[in-house]
Amino acid sequence: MTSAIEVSGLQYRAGPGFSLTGVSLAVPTGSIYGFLGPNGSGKTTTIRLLLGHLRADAGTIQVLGESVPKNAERVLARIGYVPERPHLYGTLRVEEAIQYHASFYPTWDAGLAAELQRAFRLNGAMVLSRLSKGELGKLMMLLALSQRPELLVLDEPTDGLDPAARREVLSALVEFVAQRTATVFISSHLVHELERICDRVAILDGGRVVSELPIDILKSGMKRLRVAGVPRMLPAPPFTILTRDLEVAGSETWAVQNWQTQHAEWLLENGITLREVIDLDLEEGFVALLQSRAVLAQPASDSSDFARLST
Amino acid sequence: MFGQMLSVQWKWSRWSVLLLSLAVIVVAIWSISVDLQNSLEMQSGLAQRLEAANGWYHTLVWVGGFLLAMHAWRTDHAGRHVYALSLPIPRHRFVLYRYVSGLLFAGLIVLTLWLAALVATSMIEVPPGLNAYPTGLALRIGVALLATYALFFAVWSATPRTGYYVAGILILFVVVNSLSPTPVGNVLQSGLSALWSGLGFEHIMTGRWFLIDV
Repeated sequence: MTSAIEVSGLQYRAGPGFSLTGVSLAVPTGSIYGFLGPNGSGKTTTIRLLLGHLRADAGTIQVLGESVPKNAERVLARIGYVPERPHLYGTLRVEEAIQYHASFYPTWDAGLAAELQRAFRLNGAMVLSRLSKGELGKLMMLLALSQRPELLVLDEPTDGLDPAARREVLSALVEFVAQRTATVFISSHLVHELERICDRVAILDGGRVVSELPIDILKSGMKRLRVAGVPRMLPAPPFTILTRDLEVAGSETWAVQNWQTQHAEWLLENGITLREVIDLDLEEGFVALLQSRAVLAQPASDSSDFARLST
Repeated sequence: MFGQMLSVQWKWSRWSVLLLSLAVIVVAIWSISVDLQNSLEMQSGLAQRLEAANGWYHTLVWVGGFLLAMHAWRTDHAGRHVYALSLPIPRHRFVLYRYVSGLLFAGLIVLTLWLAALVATSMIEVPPGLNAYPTGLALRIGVALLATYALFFAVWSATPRTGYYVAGILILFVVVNSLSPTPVGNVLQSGLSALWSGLGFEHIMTGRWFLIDV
């Protein structure tokens, strides 16, 4: 399987408070790849490195088979980019912004642009600075899709949009991908949104990739277990315990990763009663994963001994 | 692509270009709307008016260069250049297109001045040998506008951080100069003199704009 984006050992120091450390990603061609992470985890910085806006301190970046930032212009001609914040010239009218943008892309699809403009109900005479956030989001998606890109890089494309606008933008995206073999790299902290559309996800936290796998594996292996009779010294389990919450004496709730049905036997062997197994959706799993990293990052203390996790 | 960049930059610059064009028309006509064939007093009045116009041209050239450069960069700065950097065009070519667009607008102002000077000279009886006055004036102001535009284009193209560094150095010089007039003051004085007089940058602006020696 070829990769639309291949990043290896990426290092970038943005300042004293933040750096990307050893970020490696492989985004399969034709996939919808979710890039998850809390605010400030480095998603936008990684995207800016992928586009050649920033230069990495170390590591290699290949996008659509080209090296970035060396061949950034060639790569940018094949990428549709929707940034986190509206970046278009606010003094232009919608029609002017479309014409301006189109002039840079030989692959521009004027028919698709007109169709999307109708579908998104964007008034061509409106000045961009007077558009609502939802309308600007739709316009940026229109511009990115009408380029007929081989790769769409979307940085929080629906952040701040109302549910109706969000649905329209995501529908247009899904329809576009269904009709063409485009790759989509979409970053968001709105996990439930990505859950519906992504094939594969990477989770970034504190400038590091903490998890990278197909979404069905991520979801199927993430469970909440209600258990009782947990021994004081818990042996290492065959799955990963992300969080442990004490409920009543001897009874706990665990968020676990890599859970398989046969692991119930391990619990029995260790005298633990499995009361309930609950599926976690991606958002709950994502939160548990980040909580587990936060706990592991804390210095050990009596109170945190309980919470420090078996992995 | 260049056509679109030109069109967008025109939208940002058009009011400045129109106002500056109007200003040069007024100054060009006002500066020589005196009957040269009249008495010596009238010629002396013309001399005073030309001196005044000299100051106006000087100001317009600085303001024009500043505004054209500002319009070339301000919107990209506001968007932190994210849009410009996302477009599939080499950065040097993008900057060149922005620069050339501003230069064309400067050319419009100079062309307006040339036409206004032609009209103005047609309204009076120009002394023999001064028929090239409108062209000479337009050329000199064209070169001066090119110089100020290039200077401000370079300044505006800098990042805010560079701007702060430049401003900081200037403020430091001024503060040190005010606290200790010598010898740092002399260095500052010499630097400014080199830039602003003799064969320095502003000499092109401080020379006479007119080839009419009255």
